[in-house]
Amino acid sequence: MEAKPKPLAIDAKPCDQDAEIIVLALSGYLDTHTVLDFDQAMNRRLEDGFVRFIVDAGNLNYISSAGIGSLMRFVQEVRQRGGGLVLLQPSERVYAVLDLLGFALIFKFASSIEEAVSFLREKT
Amino acid sequence: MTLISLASYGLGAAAAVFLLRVALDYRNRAAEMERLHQALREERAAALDLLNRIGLRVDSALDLDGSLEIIADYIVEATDAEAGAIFLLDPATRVLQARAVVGMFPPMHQTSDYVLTKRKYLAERIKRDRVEVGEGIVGFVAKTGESLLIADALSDPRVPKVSTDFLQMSSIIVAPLRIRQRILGVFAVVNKRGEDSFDERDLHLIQQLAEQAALVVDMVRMYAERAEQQRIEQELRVAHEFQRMLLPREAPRIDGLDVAAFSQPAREIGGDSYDFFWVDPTHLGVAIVDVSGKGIPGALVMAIVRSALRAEAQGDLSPKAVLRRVNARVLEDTQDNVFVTMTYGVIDVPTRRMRFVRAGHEPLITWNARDLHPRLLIPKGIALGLVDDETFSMIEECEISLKEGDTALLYTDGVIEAMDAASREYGSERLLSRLQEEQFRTADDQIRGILADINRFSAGIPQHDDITLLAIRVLKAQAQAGEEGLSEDASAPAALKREGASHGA
Repeated sequence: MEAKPKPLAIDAKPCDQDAEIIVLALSGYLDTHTVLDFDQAMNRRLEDGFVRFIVDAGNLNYISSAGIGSLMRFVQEVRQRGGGLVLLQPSERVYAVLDLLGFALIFKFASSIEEAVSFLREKT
Repeated sequence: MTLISLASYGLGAAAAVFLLRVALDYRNRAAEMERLHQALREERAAALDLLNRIGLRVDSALDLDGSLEIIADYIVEATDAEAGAIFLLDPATRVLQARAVVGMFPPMHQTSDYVLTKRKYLAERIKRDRVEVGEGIVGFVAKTGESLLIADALSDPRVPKVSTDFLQMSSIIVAPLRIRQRILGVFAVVNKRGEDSFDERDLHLIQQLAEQAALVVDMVRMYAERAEQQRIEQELRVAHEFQRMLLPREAPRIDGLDVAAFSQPAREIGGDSYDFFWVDPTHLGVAIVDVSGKGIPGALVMAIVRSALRAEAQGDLSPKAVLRRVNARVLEDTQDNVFVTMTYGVIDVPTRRMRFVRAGHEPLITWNARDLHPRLLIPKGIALGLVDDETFSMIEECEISLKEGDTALLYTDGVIEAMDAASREYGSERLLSRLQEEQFRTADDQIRGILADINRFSAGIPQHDDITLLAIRVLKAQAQAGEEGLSEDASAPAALKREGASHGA
């Protein structure tokens, strides 16, 4: 019996502290079923001209290798455009998965929105 | 069944009446079923009739779009129209899309597009158009399920005005492709050849053809889907066989070392693999690999990684140096979002020392009959195929010394992430406590013990990730002076023979 696919909700809005930074809040599961929605949301903002991203992972329960691969691709894309991407407050579980893979060295993690904003302002 | 015979069964009147009603109901239902079967037989005959007339064979070589082109051609010719198109409805999105276009078929809803002035781009453009149910003439017919005849398109307000002359519509017929209540799409023809416009007779002819076409489209779609499924299953079977072939035939048999491995894909094509090979006459390379992509693309990446590893590992005793070169290859040969995790170790067989690196993979576990707690080793590392050499070179190479009674275990995340019905994970805790119970058995038994525990835990829930385990147990301490401690087993596969410096695999 196949398990029902678990959903992903994406809420995007410009950052209160800096309108040039777009915050994408993810809730739910980022896996093969939902990665296309994530891709679409990211691509739309890239097309709109955003290059500074905060991915709020506070309510992200789970990320699969498909989700990680997609995130990786966007990080590189955004950097190529002179921007940056910060992962905000990932859960212990999500952080553990990313840390084991060595992503703590590639992604920037932040534990508060202020930290994320100042990183993006300084580095991009 | 009469009341008398019912009574003879000792049944009361009320029960008898009840039974009679059930019997009548059954008879009515049977009659209804028979009517339905009759209707289905007639529909099938009509569909086959059209199929015969247009010379279309429904078999495994069927292609939906090709068949639609043939049907569209036939109808346009039969009705003497200048152009026509078949639109199919996607029931999930409620959007119609032109799948077959014959002749200069104009857009059926208001649009302004430069491309429309170029004849050769017209068909492409029409096919890309998405029409919502209810939108324009085509959408309207899809919504109502009733066919439409517009004899004087030039003066009809529903017909969009076009600026290019070759797109002018003078008369139009649109008919639904309908099977009882189900609307599969719409068929439209424009501009009767010659002076006249379409009339009622043309409308009836098209309605008839559209009915038959709907049946054919339904049948063709079912066959095409089934054929596609069979093709995919066949491809997966082939790729699965290929992957099984790549796995080492058997674990190396080395005097004093007990090595075992197991891999179980979750689907036909796995993302996990393992390998053993001689780096040089006294050093054994062991690797466990997990590719991020699934299916055939993942299998191709796996093949690239494994052959890169074997090639780069030759004669190099530093796993870190080897993986730096493998990383460069994987980075070059794969797309941005593909990554590979690997733990690769080189065992100095005579001394039982192992150097290893962890490229973003699960920890290496070591434990011993004497230890109370197994150890998790997590040297710094990052997955292959993601970063350039400068960043990748931060990976840490570890060296451990395996003593008598020690076991080293490599595994993939499918073990940790195996789930039960309540979506709980098997987890590292349970794995570690399981290992402590398996200390006194052979490497193979230990692996079987872990697998059995995973099966008990998941209790029949199918797993979504591959499960791979590799165990190395030291039976005898360092080889004595003069002994190399290597197996002279002549039956070991070519890839594992001591003198094999180049490997065919």
